[in-house]
Amino acid sequence: MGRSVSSDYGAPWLAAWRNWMGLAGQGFGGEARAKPFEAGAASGFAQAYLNFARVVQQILKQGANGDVAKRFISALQGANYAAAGPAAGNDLLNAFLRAAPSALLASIPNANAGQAWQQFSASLQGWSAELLALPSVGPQREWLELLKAVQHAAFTEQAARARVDEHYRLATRTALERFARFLQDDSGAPITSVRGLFDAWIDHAEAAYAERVMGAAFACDFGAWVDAGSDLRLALRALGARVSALFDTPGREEIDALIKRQYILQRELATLRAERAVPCAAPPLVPSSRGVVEPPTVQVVSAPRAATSPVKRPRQARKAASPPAKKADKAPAQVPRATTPKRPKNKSARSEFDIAHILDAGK
Amino acid sequence: MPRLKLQIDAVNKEIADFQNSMRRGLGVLREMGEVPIGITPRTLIFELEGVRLYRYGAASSGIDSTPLLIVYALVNRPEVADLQADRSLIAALMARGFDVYLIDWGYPGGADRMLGLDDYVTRYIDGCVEYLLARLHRPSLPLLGICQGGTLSVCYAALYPHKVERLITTVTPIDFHTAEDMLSHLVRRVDVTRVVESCGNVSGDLLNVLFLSLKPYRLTQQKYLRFLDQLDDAAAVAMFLRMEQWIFDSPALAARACVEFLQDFYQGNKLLKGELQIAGHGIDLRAVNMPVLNIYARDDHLVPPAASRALGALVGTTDYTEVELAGGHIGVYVGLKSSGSVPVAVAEWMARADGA
Repeated sequence: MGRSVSSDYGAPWLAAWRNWMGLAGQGFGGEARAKPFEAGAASGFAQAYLNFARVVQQILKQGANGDVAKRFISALQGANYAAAGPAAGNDLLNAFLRAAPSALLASIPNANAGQAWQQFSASLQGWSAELLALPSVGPQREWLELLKAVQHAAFTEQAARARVDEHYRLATRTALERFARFLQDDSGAPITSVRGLFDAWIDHAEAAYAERVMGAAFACDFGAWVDAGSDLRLALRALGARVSALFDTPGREEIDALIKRQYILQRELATLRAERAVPCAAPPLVPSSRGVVEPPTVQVVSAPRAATSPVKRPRQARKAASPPAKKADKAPAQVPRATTPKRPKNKSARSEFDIAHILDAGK
Repeated sequence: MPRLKLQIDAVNKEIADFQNSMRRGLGVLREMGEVPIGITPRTLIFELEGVRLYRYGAASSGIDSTPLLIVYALVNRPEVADLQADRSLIAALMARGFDVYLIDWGYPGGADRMLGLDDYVTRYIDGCVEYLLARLHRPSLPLLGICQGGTLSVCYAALYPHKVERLITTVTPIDFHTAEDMLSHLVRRVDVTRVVESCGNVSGDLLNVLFLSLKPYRLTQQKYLRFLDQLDDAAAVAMFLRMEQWIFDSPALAARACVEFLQDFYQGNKLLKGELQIAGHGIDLRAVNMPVLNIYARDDHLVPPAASRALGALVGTTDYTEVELAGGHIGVYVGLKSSGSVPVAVAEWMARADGA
């Protein structure tokens, strides 16, 4: 590998490699998983709630006999402005009010790789702008293409994520506006505790969130963001596969091909076993004259799916569970080779996991 | 007069009380230790590629009881049906004379990514049913499906109606496009094939975030505040911890099964449309000709009542009963009064169907 990396690109490549390893080591989200749901973790939540209570406390301390509601609404509006603009405030109230969706967004595994990803991304920043605009040439062409694909996917994911975050911000703003109106309204039961205030906020926040999320625009942007995350992971995987190949380490595609082969063989074995079984112990079945759908063939496979201890079954039951198979249900004799084929650019939806596609692969 | 009427002294006291509660709570939590879930004794009686069939109760019990096979969802673990003695659906069913069996799907690993719905329905459920029919010398037996397990049970009953004596569905989605179904709305525009191509099996972590995102403020904030309110009640704390343990013990979804379920059910709504195929066989719900009891939860945010109630118009049986229970998706199983509600509804319906 050392000889194939030119001095021009060596330093950034090695930096990227180190960071990529760090990223891979964290499982593309290990950091997020390590501290999931900042607002939800017991101690983190308690602190967040205390922050909320202290904001209320501070407001009250500003004047013993003043209009509490007016001051609190004013504070909310401050948070509202912060939530509405790009320069979100760092005040406690705003941080608390925005905690839930932001924490969730940040904690989605495989979507936010945390610090390691930022380092990796930063290591590419210095040369990505130039490289992304130029065709890749020279002995490093394939590597550059992979890195450019990662960077391009990262930019796309960041933009898509920003659009989803914008929905959360707008939902928060809506909730704040309604909450302020609610507090000014004197028609309902009075709120006399921080806890009552908190519960009322949760009601408004949840309602505004649901309203925003159930909109058509959110579904589109959310889908685009999830898809962009998928593309980013695929780009990273392609880069990883290239690195793995240098060490003769099998990549995901090679392992998947083996799993498919094993799966097909397993089904074929089950069919063969079913064909050999004698169905004398099968329980009486209701005749098909009841107009029922013809049931598929039973296929019992005795190999354990995971590392477990199989339980010995009574002979009679074993036979009963294995009626003869129809020839039409037989799996094809051929199975795909465990190689690393190039991914077709326009695959039909679900082909990778479509059983008909898999079983047809060897025909 | 605005409705906000806070007094500084009261707020100071509230904050101090909260901090004291937190301190006291840490002590309570330190004393709690591990809280076991899945408390009813059970015996492993059959296994098929890691899918396990359990029988509950002592080996000699229930010889003459009515068997009932529980089919749980692929999401989360079945222990929610057996959290603790006084909130156990399984124990309550046994107390009402049922011989309870449960299919445990286990934890699909990386090598299980090719498993599809055809495997789950026509090999695993049917394998367990076939085993039980032979063991119990019966031509058919009652199925009780929970949530997604109910959907799979409905599919199974449509494919093998002669093996299903009665069908009970609980909080089971049938119509995946109801107006209030946020989960369906969220995944509607996602390319799920790309998701599983890039991450294989869909991890429990990802599923947890997806479910939390349906009610993020309540489930990541308010829920824990209410927990702090209960710190003086050791039983309530233990129950909360059991629920926490259960809800975040999330198996991954096998990649292919996940793609099929999301595409065919959540995106295509094919079960409702009569377009669903499993193992090459069309799922025609008119073939569901056995008595059906459909239990749904009034405040279910995961499976809205309308999503469950759609079953009634689709099945072929004339013996169809709906029961609405108070509570949410999980609450109907573990709520204060609900450990009785589902088993009571099941027992009463089964007795009626028996002509008792």
